Amino acid sequence: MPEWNDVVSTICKAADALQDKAWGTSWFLFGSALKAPDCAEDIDILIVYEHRDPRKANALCESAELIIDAYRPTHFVMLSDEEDDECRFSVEEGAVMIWGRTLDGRQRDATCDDDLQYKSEQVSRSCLVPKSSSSVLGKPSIQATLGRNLVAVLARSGPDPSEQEYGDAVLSSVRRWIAHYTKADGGRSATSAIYSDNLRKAAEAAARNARIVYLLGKVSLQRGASRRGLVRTQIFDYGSVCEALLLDLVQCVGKQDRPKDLRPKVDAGRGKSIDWAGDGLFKVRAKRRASDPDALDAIITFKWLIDQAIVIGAIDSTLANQLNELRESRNVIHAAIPTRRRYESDLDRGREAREVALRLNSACVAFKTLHSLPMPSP
Amino acid sequence: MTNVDGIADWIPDFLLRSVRSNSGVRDAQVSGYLVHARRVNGSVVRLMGVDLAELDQHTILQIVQAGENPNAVVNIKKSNHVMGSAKLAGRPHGIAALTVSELHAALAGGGHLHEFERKNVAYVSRRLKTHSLVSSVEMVCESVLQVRRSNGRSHIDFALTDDYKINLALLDSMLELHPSISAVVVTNSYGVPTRAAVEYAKTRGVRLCTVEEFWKSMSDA
Repeated sequence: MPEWNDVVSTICKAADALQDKAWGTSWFLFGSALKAPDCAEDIDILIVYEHRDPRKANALCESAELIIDAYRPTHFVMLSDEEDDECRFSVEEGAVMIWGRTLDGRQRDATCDDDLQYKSEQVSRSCLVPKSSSSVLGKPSIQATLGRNLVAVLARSGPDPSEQEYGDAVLSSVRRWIAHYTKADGGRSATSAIYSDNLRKAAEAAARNARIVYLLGKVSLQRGASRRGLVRTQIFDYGSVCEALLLDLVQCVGKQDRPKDLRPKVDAGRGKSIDWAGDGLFKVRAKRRASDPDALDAIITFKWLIDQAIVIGAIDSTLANQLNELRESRNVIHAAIPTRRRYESDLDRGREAREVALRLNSACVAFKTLHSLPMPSP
Repeated sequence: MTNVDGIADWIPDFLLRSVRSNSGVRDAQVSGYLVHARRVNGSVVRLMGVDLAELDQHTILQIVQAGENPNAVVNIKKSNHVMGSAKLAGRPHGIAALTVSELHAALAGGGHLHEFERKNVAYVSRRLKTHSLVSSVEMVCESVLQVRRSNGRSHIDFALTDDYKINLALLDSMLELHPSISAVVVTNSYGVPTRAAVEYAKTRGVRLCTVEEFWKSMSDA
């Protein structure tokens, strides 16, 4: 996994180092490096250039090769934007944009939020998502998709399309845009470690919801308090995903008793023995508080699950701290604490929550693989 | 070793990093100007990198005389050429003359390095030799072949590409690297040229064709 981050950062650094030579180009990853980075012999890089000068493009390619080849062999495809539009190479190859500058050196901002998301998606995708799903990844920024649809409307409707036709094009673009990204990752990348079918489906739904909320927030260009609300929803969902991952992990460790003698024997402070010969954690239910029949005492809590994951050695203290931070963020539902206070850093918090879920999933996969614990069938 | 052209202190480390990423290599280390790579099949190969515009038979003979006995000499930069003469000169000494991408394909393939030959080069060469009007097919450099015809017609230098998106920049770089070629033969059956590439080939007077089209053109003037 860290190697994948290195690939992306090496390429981005190379592009940055080339400065104005790289202006007017967009860099994409495609091919085996994207689908199966662990066994890719080389890195396929597509550079789409706007300046229409193939010599300049080839000179850029040579300079980039000198930097990146030292890391791993590269294969460049250089296409002018006109050629890429003609053959739709970036779309059909499912290429993922990782770097882009306009002709005057400005960073391409239309897709940069998503680019960051893609990188983290790809980190987890490297071994968790079936290869075929990467073929649906492309780079349609919402602006570009809307633009293409509107051009199509103009072509169909002549020079004066109706308001209805413009509106239809906008709605269809939004639907396509969301469908595109949710198809690429319907929640599987953060939940592939979960063995229990029911639990995995529930967690997948939560991860997918969080993704849709993120996309809706982006497409509607929400700002300020509205966007914080959307971020908060993502944190709830990713919190649920992490809880499901941990529950499944501790359940697998307990049922298999691997690693030996590390499974918890009693629940979260209530002293009730866990029946590992029976259903294990899945049988433990929240119980009604004697003093207040309307209140429930959770016996298996998120906090307890995090602690158990540390005890069995599945996560380190850094990930545990991140999980506790996510848990606390998720648990703050209080009239006196405004949304703004908990989610000041806006989109970053949603992204961090997603990263934590992906990291936890990777940690669970690694731990289960190491100890031969049950995993879902591929 | 100082009497060998194209060697430099930075090359072994560069080559080391490159081969370490290959799936056919278990581990590698530098020893002088050589990189010793242990392959997954257990064998150890000795690799020497050079940086020359054209790696030819003279450099191979210099290396043989220096007594280093590498299994492969690799011309490090992609814009450099590995001439057919270097490949021929190295073969009797068990030395493969390779480009970096050839080296990676050879290491991943698991066979002897000096026996490595690009599949598309081997195929086109073998195929053309069966043509009644072809007297010989020789390798000029890593991706350029020269076909000589027996009916008194001129010989043809042509480049091979197995890329599947034949674009303007690719064509321009091939013509820049190999100005003598009069045809570019696309060996990838999914290889499709872009409109810009087709137009550019016309303006440069270069044929852009498939293997079969090239085969049929052998009887043309």
